[in-house]
Parts: sequence; structure tokens; C-alpha cells
Amino acid sequence: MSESDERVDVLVIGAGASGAAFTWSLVKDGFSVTCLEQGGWTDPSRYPSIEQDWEIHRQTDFNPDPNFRGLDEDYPVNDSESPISPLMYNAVGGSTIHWSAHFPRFHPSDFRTRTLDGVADDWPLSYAELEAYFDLNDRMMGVSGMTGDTAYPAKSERQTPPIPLGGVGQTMARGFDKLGWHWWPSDSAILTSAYDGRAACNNCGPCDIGCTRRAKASTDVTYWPKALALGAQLKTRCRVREVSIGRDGLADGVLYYDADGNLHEQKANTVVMACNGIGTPRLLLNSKSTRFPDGLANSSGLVGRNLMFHPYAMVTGVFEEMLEGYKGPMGASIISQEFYETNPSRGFVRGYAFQVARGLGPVSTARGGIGGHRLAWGAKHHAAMAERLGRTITIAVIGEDLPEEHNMVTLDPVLVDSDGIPAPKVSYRLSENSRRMMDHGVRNAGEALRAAGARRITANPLLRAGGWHLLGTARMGDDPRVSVVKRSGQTHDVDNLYIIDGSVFVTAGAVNPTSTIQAVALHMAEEFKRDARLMRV
Amino acid sequence: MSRYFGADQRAQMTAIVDRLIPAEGDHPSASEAGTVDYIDGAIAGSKRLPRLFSSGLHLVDMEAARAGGARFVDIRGELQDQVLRKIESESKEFFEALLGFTYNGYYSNPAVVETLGLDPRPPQPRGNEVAIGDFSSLEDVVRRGQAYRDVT
Ligand SMILES: Cc1cc2nc3c(=O)[nH]c(=O)nc-3n(C[C@H](O)[C@H](O)[C@H](O)COP(=O)(O)OP(=O)(O)OC[C@H]3O[C@@H](n4cnc5c(N)ncnc54)[C@H](O)[C@@H]3O)c2cc1C
Repeated sequence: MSESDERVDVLVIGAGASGAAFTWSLVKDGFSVTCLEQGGWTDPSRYPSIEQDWEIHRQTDFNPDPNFRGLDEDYPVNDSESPISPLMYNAVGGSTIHWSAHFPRFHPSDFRTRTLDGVADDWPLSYAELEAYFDLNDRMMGVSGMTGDTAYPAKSERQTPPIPLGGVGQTMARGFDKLGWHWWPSDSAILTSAYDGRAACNNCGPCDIGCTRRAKASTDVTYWPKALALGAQLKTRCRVREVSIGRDGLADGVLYYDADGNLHEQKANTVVMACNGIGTPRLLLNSKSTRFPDGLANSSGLVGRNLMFHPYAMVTGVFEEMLEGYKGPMGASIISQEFYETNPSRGFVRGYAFQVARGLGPVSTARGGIGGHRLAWGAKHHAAMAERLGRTITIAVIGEDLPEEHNMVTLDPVLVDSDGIPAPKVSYRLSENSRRMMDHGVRNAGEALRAAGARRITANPLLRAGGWHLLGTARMGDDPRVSVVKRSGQTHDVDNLYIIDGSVFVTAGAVNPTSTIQAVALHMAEEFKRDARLMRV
Repeated sequence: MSRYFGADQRAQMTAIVDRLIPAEGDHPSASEAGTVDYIDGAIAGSKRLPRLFSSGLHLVDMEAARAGGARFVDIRGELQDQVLRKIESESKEFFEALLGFTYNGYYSNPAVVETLGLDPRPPQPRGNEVAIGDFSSLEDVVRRGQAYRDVT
């Protein structure tokens, strides 16, 4: 038995980075939008950074891995066949509740990998077409940074000045300078002065456990308040089980469970999916019918395939001087894109970037932090702690993995979430090209750290807890045989079904994807509004 | 006061964590910093941990008997370390949980944080001062010219 909710016009599933941007864009221009989100609201004033045991929360209820967190609104992910674990958060704001808000854009060349480098495919979109949406999204999120970066075409004025370099950024900048390598203060969706009713960052450090000051742009504090004021409907703790199909072969709504486990039927004129690169293919594969026996919008067989994570390696240098790395936004201080663009002499195609992360608090330092080695116990413990606490710099090497069909999201035959909905399984293998790229990156990160004065260097060549970026599992393209959606986000198979999250990425670039995810979502929203207006006349 | 450990286990845990983090200079030992209570609470609040710890602690005493002919609490420090190293290499799941909780308990204690030279307070609401820094060498980066490929 299910309850029937009143029919809505546009139904968005997922209230994360992309769903929020898309919804806002539509309601701003008078569209009627309802969003269903399986998670709830989080209360910034109660994030664990106000607690003495803040570092413990990172391992438990604020763990980025849903398998460890295990909240009711989470779904488990079988990652036993992947060397990288997918990370995400399920709430209003989605994974931006946890994110580090490192906000680099894709490069123009990232949209043309086939033409330029003979690999993967060109996007049916270009940097030039997205530029206005990058800018719009920057204004909505609020970005700190500095114009003039030589790794990009000129950008519009950043909303606030760059996040402070601190000891870590300054020291590393010296290293890059010595080698003559590119670096630039990172674009960060973290305010360094008050903007748009939000306070400036006070450099507390752990962005990953939620920002109490709303200085970090999670979409629950940026897009959502504006979208709700404009009339968007947001229904929380509503977990969609499947998209339902009418006799005409069009989507006619969804079936979802409310917080008490009651099944609801929600009819809609248009369904828009924004559940991220794991959640979206999962939902499509769970939406089987006689008409779509292999899952919805899957005539190409590519739903769930071409999963890209960005392999990460972590290279850590230990320095003599106190750098106070535990102060300041943790994710990034500066970025180097010296090795971003393809150079065939390196033995691999495409490239990687260096994100210079800051240090860690005492608990994380003792436990080895993200992917490092825990400190020795016993008589040498205190010396090891003194050597490292506040005296390390970690370079995160983020590499571009290429789309490969065997890297994929499928449905696990036994695993289910708390509502009994089949859960996803990820299968992923690191390619030869990626391995060579990451080895190159680890060597060069070591060289940069040495140039900056590091005494000792350790490396984790492939980070398991590094599946922050979930991309490619419902790729866009002009040809319905080899892609799932058009550049407008409309699926090739079902006219009133759209996908607007990171699933649609054709390639991954070698930067954190969310700035580009949101620019693409805003561009899709613009095409959606234009098409809808045309239909009306 | 104990929620999970009996008196013997509490004594055993005290001996164990003080080998993991001994006292040194200003730094208290793990048990002095309340780590046994911390772990006790964590085990009592968990479904999985009671079994892991009861079998793990039993194993520690069996290894102690093999190495020193007595219970863990009754053997010499160096022998205790040897026992713990054996457990570390052979009972990874238990040992890593034991050490992880010991580090968690120890380093989330404000008194310990203070011995590290840090302010014993959570990150918020006060935050930190961080130097903006010197961006002047970006001129050199700029001088080296465009660092991305044009597309047509
Ligand atoms: C710890 C961490 C750090 C990160 N740091 C960065 C960074 O510094 N820079 C960067 O660019 N990116 C970063 N990311 C990645 C970034 O958060 C994501 O790229 C971005 O949030 C993806 O947007 P999205 O809209 O595709 O999905 P999400 O933001 O993940 O939102 C998807 C939403 O859909 C909901 N949903 C899923 N399935 C259902 C269902 N069946 N029914 C109802 N609702 C559903 C989920 O609950 C979720 O709220 C980080 C991620 C994590 C986890």
C-alpha cells in the first residue's frame, strides 16, 4: 500500500551540490520545483568542531565513508572490488556538508581530450560555453582566490581574497619557486571576508566536520535558503526507490519511502536526478520495468559504467620548523598545476595536480591522518609526535583517470539499505596510464617537498579513503549509442527524465569537480528553461 | 565506575596502555590521562567491541604466560612490549582497535593537548590566526607565461 502525494511539475531528486543549483535556477525564473532528499537538515551551530572530541567525530558520525557512518539515511556501498572507497554525505547540502570546498575549475583542454590527446571523448560542451555559469556559480557560492592564474583563461574577480598561506602554504610556495614550477593560491568556496550574509572563515581547521560559521559554501547555506525563499519545495527524509514509467514510456514520477518507512507515490511531469555518481546509476538500475528491463535510460548499456574517482596519492614531508599546519582550512592552501596538461615525453597522457593540504590535529596525527602511517607506540611515541605535530606538509596528488567501461557501479545482489532498496557495488581497477601518472606525481611531489626543506618524506601511492569524486556513470554525448544524456541533461531514452549531477561527466579532469559539476548543472537548467518556454509557445 | 572492565581487566588494560603511551616529562601516561575509562566507555557503548576486547585481552594473557610464565601485569616491561608486538603482528584487528582507542582517548583529553603546546580547546568558536603570507613570488609564475593549452 502506498500513499499518493499531490502531482508536481518538476521533481528533483537529491539536494546536494547540483540539485540545489539546478532547483534555484528554475524557481528563480518562475518554475515550480519540488525536491526529494533522503537526508535531513544539519544544524551548523551543532557541528562537532565545538566539541573537545571533534577529531573522534571524523571517525564516527562524521566519517565521510557511509559504510563506517551507517546513519539511517545512508546507504551502504560494497567497495570490496575497488582499491578506492566512495565517500559522500546524505543530507540537505549533500556531500558539500563534508567537503573541503577546494574549488578549481576544469581547464579548457579537459573538454577536448579526444581532439587534443586522442583519448576518451570530447564533451558536447566547452569551457567557453560554461564560463558564464562558472561565474554565476562563483557568485552564488562565494569564492576566495586571486585572479591572474596562468593555468586558466582570465577569470572574473573572486568574491573574497585568498585563504591565508600560513606556514604550510608559504613553505611549499618556496619549494615550487625554487623548482620554477607553477603554483597559485587555490580558489576555495570558503569566505575570507563576510559575503552575502555569511561570516568569514576564522581558520579553525577541520572543514570536513561541517562549518559552524557558514563560511564554507555547503549548498544548505548558499543555494537552498534562496531557492526556498523563491518557493522551492524541499521534502527531507524522502528516499526514492525508483522512477516510475507511464504507459507512454515517459517518467510519471517516483516511489519513495518517508522517514517512517511508508511508501509514497509522487507523480511528476518531469523527473531530474541529482543523486551523485553512485546514487544516480543506482536509482536508474533499480528502476526496471518491462519496457526498460536493464534499468531506466540504459539503452546504451552505459548506466553505471565509466566510473571515475580521481586516484589520489598522498606524499608527506616532515619539516624541522613549526608550521602550525593544524590552523587554517585543511583542504588546500595552494595548488600547483605544473603537470596538468599532457606532455607525451612523460610516458602517460593527461595529467595531475598538486593540492597542498594542511596538517592535522593531535588525534589524526597519532593515527596517521588521511592515508598516512600511524605513529609508533611505546618509548618512542612522544618523540614521534613532537617530530610531526604541526610540522608536516602533505601534497595530495590528484590524477585524471580516464573513462573505462569496466570501472562501474552495479547493484549488489544482497546488500540493501534500511528501507530494503538494493545497494550499489563499485568495481574499479587502476589503469596502467593512471599508475604511471601517479608514480610520476609521487616522485615530483617528493622533489617539491625536498626543495621546500622537508627532512623526511613518506608516500601513500594510492589512497583508499580517497573516493571523494564520483563521476562519469551516466555520461553525456550526442550519440545515444555511447552516452546516456544529451548536453541538456535530458536522457536519450526518456524525454522527461534528466540527469544533472557528476554522473554526466565525460572525463574527469585533474581537479576537484564540484565547481564544474555546478556550472554544468546551471547550464543544463538554462537549456531546460529555454526548451520549456519553447514548448509553451 | 567501570562499565565494561572487571577489576582484573582494568588492571591489565592499565598496564597495556601505559606501555603504548608511557609517561615522559610533562606527558602523562595513557592511564594517567584517563584512557582506560575512555576505552571502557567506548566498549560498553558498542555491539562489536566487547567480543573483540574480551578475546584480545585473553590472548594478551596467554602470550604473557608463554613469554614470561605469568599474567601480563606480572611480567617485566620489556617482556610486555614483546608480547604487545606479537599481538600487533598476529591479531591486527584487536591491536589496531586497542591502539586507535588509546590514541583517541589520550589526544582528546585537554590536559594532554596542553602538553603538546596547543590551546586545549575545540577549533570553534575561537578559530585561529593564520598569516596571510607573501604572494610576491607569483610575479615569477606570471613571468613564465601561460600554463594551459588553448583549444579552438
Ligand atoms: C569529505 C569530502 C570532501 C570533498 N572535498 C571536495 C573539494 O574540496 N572540492 C570539490 O570540488 N569536491 C569535493 N568533494 C566532492 C563534492 O562534495 C561532490 O563533488 C559534490 O557534492 C557532488 O554533487 P552532487 O550533486 O553530484 O552529489 P551530492 O552532493 O553527493 O548530493 C547527492 C544527494 O542526493 C541524495 N540522494 C541520493 N540518493 C537518493 C535517493 N535515492 N533518494 C533521495 N535522495 C537521494 C543524497 O542524500 C545527497 O544529499 C568532497 C566530498 C567529500 C565526501
